[in-house]
Amino acid sequence: MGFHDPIKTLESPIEVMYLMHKVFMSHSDHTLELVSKVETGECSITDVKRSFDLWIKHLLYHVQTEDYYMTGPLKEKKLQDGRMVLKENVSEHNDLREMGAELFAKIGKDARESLIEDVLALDDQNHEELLDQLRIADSAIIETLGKQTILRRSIRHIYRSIFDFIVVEFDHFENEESFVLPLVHDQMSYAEELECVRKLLIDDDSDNPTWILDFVRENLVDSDRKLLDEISENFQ
Amino acid sequence: MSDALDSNLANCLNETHRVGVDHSIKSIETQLQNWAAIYMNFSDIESHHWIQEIQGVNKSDISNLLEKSKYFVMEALQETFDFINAEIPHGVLIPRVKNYLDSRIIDTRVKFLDFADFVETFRFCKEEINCLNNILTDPTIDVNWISNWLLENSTIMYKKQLQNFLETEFPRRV
Repeated sequence: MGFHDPIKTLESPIEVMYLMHKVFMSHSDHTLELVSKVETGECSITDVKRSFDLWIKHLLYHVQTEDYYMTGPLKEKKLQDGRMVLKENVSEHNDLREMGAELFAKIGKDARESLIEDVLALDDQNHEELLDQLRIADSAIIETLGKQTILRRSIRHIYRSIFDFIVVEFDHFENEESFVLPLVHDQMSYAEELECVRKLLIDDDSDNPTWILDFVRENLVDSDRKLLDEISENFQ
Repeated sequence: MSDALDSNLANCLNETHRVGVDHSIKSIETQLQNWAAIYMNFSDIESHHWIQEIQGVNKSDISNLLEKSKYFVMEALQETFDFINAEIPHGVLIPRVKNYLDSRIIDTRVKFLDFADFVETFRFCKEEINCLNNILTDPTIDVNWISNWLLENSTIMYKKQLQNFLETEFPRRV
């Protein structure tokens, strides 16, 4: 469900965000594809986890840096429907962090444990009481369902959660491009925009500061990569 | 039948991106309505089967699990219809809305597959052929419609089997 429109030109440095969002969405879609390949045996849950970890690493750095260096210095703007642009943006960042953490835990969880939670969610009874019953009945139910069924079930639940996470990520990137980037363009000078983009692409605190830039470059088509290079060549 | 139900939802998902191109949202809605009709038959039939004995587990707990799981499928489907009516009133499907529609169809599919797994594991059916016969001979059901739907939506693995069955049991179907 990524951003597929071709980008012909970047009007200002902050528009590098279009390229970054494009790469991030494409990686998210790739992770979802990996999940659908687990059941057919074309890849393992470890491949999914690796891809998801990379996705979360980028997303967390991205939203954190935006909070500090992009939305942080901007002046708030109220939209016609009463929503506040920057407040909404920060709130969406928090939602992404929260959903990402939940999904991280879900992917790492044992299929058997997930099943017990799902079964608990099916019942209105007191959870503690039911959990005790389930612990007693656990091995019998698990044995009856069979390992393959439990694994399949776990995989499709992970697929659904990742899909929903991508939906939220898509909305966020689209909102940011529509409402926040124009504010950046209006309120920041060229040099400030460039520094903001540099912070988004270069991690000064890392032993490998170009890990984001390298990832984005590697995953762009030639024409988009050329646009990125034209901006990043100006980094101080 | 559960294979055809799953396959139909997968097709539905593959077609949402064609809404506004060569499909209308109405065609998706009709597909989902047909799916709901078949699903009701499927769940009715399964509820007449025995619950398998599992040592250390109360039958009523399993029955409760099956009922809740069945209900969650209907709930997810209803949410999908509500979403279509509320968010796609003029049949226009922008990417953002399409994502949410897909998300609801995926949720329905996941809940259906969970239910189908429970049915397969906990319900004991001795005579699958009789089950299908019971559905197809139900006077309230259009045999042609349901058998065509099953044929259209069965995967290759089951299509031939179903075709042979229909030709033997319902030779005057078409």
